Amino acid sequence: MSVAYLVAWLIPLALGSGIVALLEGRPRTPPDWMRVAGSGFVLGALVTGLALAPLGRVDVDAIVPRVAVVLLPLAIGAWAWVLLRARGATVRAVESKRRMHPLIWCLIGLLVVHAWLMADEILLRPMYPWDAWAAWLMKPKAWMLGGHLDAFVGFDDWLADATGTLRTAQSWNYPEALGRLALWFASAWGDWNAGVVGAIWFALWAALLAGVYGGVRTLGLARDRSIVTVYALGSLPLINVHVALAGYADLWIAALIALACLSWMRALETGARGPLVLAALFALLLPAVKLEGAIWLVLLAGTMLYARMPLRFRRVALVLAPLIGAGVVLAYLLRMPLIAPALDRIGLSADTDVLLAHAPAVIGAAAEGLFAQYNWHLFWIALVLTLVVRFGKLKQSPSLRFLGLFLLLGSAFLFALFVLTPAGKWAESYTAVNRLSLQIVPAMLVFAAMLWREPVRAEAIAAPRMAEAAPLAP
Amino acid sequence: MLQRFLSSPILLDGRMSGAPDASRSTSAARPRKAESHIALRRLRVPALIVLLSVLWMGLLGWASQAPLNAPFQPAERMRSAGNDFHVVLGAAVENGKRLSINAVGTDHMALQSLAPAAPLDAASFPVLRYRWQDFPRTLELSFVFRRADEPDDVHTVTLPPAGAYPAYFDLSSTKDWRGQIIEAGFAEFPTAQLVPADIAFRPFSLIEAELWSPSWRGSLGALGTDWSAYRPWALMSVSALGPDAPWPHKPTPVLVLSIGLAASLAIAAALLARSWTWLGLTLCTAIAGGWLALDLRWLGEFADRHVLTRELYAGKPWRERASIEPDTALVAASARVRDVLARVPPSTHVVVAASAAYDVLRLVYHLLPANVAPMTTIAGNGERLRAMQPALLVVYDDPDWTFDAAAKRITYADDGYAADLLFEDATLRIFRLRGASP
Repeated sequence: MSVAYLVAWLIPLALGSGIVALLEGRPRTPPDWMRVAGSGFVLGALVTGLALAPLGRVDVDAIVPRVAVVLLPLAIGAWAWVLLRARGATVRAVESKRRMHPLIWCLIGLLVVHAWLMADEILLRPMYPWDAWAAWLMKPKAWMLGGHLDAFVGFDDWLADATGTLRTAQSWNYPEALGRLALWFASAWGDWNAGVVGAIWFALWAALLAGVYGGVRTLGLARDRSIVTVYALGSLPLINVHVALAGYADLWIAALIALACLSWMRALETGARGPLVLAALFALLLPAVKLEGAIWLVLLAGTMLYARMPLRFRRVALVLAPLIGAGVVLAYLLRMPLIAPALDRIGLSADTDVLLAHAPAVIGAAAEGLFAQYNWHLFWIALVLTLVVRFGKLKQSPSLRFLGLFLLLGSAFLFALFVLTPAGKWAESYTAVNRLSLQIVPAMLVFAAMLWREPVRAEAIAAPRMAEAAPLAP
Repeated sequence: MLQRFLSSPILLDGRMSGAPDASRSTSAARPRKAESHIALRRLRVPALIVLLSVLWMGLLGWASQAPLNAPFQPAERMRSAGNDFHVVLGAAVENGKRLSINAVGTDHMALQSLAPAAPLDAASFPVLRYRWQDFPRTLELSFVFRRADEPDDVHTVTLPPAGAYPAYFDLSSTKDWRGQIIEAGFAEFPTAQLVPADIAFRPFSLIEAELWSPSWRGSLGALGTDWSAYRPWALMSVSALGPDAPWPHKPTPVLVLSIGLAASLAIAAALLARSWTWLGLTLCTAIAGGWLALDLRWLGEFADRHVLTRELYAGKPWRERASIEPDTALVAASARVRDVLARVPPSTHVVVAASAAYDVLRLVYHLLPANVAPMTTIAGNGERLRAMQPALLVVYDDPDWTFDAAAKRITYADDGYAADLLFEDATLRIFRLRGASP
């Protein structure tokens, strides 16, 4: 292991955690540190990936030195600012010294077993899942082995190119942040190595768990319940598979959505600007990871805007939005002029009769994926039960109702995608329905966990602001 | 509100009710009523145990699709020892009553079969019980059979691999298991898209195979095998766990636990007349317990899958591990393409075509860092190319690309390209596309 490789890990962590600390304040307690490190790594990693974009057709050996020279001072500057700003500030660190229940230690032990299996699988196996070698990690392999960060273009442009410096691929137009991040680590390692690249997914899993733990603790969830939440998240089989068989982008989307939601919750409950900016940063990174990230960005940004609207606008939006949504769906299904052709143009063209005939099978397949296969343990049952048992908590907490609205919109988007578009065939074949569900599962789990929060300071802190928001929060 | 929480969710016992008129249920006949209540109370727990036993037996019966009128033990068993089978593909020796398979045949496949003295009625023997020794995780196991109505057709069904214990499989879950069976056997071959075919084989033994008439034991055994059998990684694993195992499935423990826990608690709440709070807390505890049980099962399955990964890759340096790819034939083809590429400028465009999308994309991946692209990108859109620099076209195992040597033109569907043949073998052809638009 070289110094360059260590630096390659250090820079995203230092930069991302520096930005998080800058926006949310200097971490004081262990959960604070876990939140800053976890969410900071995810943020820093993607920012590092994006930082490779302006380099052009650079030599891969020059990537780490050129980017480090910019990002490392930024990271140091961010942390220096955080530490200087926090000098003399009142320390509010109050952390439970109560001993943990042995069962909680068992859960941590089980998480360690999960982690060991995933880490060993990643380090040993060459790139395995289809989209890893066919799409997401094909570009960085080409860059690394070719020695240059070549541009990927469409097939016709590539075939007409006489310079030989352009490349193409079936997925040439996919976002490149993940590919560039993989190249960042591979170039620091000095060779293309699937284990080195796959290790990013393991770090993502660990960062997600740390970020969620710190996030829910900061929002007032008790320590033992937070550990149960993290165990539940870390033990979900399909998430384990996406780490062990590294190379898909869905877990990155899931982490960004969950961390954005946690920051947004903090912003809602404290009224502070920093967490809101952080939530916006996480949300803005979504389209850089995967094409459907743009949809999640629109949904998240829309709900965030809704939460900040004056009361009378929210009232209008609450009435108009479902009407417009239902109207568009009806226009699409009835093939009404203007709207249906417009939807056709964006790729939603389909025989609606066929779609509706397939709808029961699609819904059945989706339900099977969620409730009857091995993907999610009893997560969806537990979520429904939590909603029933803790519905009172949901009614009392405007911030949770806003988060619930976003998740409801997300679920509606997935439902519409599979039932009302030709994407339904991917639900029937089980190839996409669970992977797209995976993208909101961590946020759903955070939502469910927050319903088990005892009524402590969060509501009290937010009381003045949320009192205004409460009457029309969904 | 308090009354609501103290009241029974399903009111079978008025004493626990928080209903306003609950107190009026007491009357002059109190001593006799109290006695009957005590008697009922004593009966509650045994009744609960009986009801829960019936519920879970019923659930397991439903999940295993056990015939209601079937006996627990099978009435008939057709047993064949390993050495009753003869080798069709590969090589084997008799080892006592066992058949020890020590080599594979063509296509890295081994096949053992048995022709019964008289045709078997498939419907009478829906359960297959089989035992192997040292069956390797590198191989996929199939059951093969012929029917009297289609003697030339071989029907195949993938089986859960058997470990140290006997395994069971419900043959009635496959539509082809019907009519009269005239031959049956087992086939073993490298797990597709996971294990390199040339290093997959390890010796193993067939101990015995039995066909059972319908029975609860056979059906429950098939359920147990489905729930606990080794499931290798598959390309489907990142999308759905369950359908990634290539045999017909029974309802999963996730579903059985969900239904069972909910129904158990409903029965318990009704019988014990507890409050909503008790019901909610008990359900939460039950879900936590169920989650832990499923997680332990998943960790076992994950560890099982990981054993194969360690078997193939552990203890080897990265360079050696990187060369152990499941698609041996494609790796070899890419090596032959590289030999040709060594004689052309490094920036030459290379286009790959094959009949299977997997082959196209894997060849592209193996050929990196060549400036390579999949032909599917243009073959699918039906549009003509605007301009084309000279390029190499690699055609792998795809007879739809035809080459007219006299006209020096390669054709696919309605598209034709001026080309020269540079290389050709059984599966691979390489052409130089001359660069002019067709």
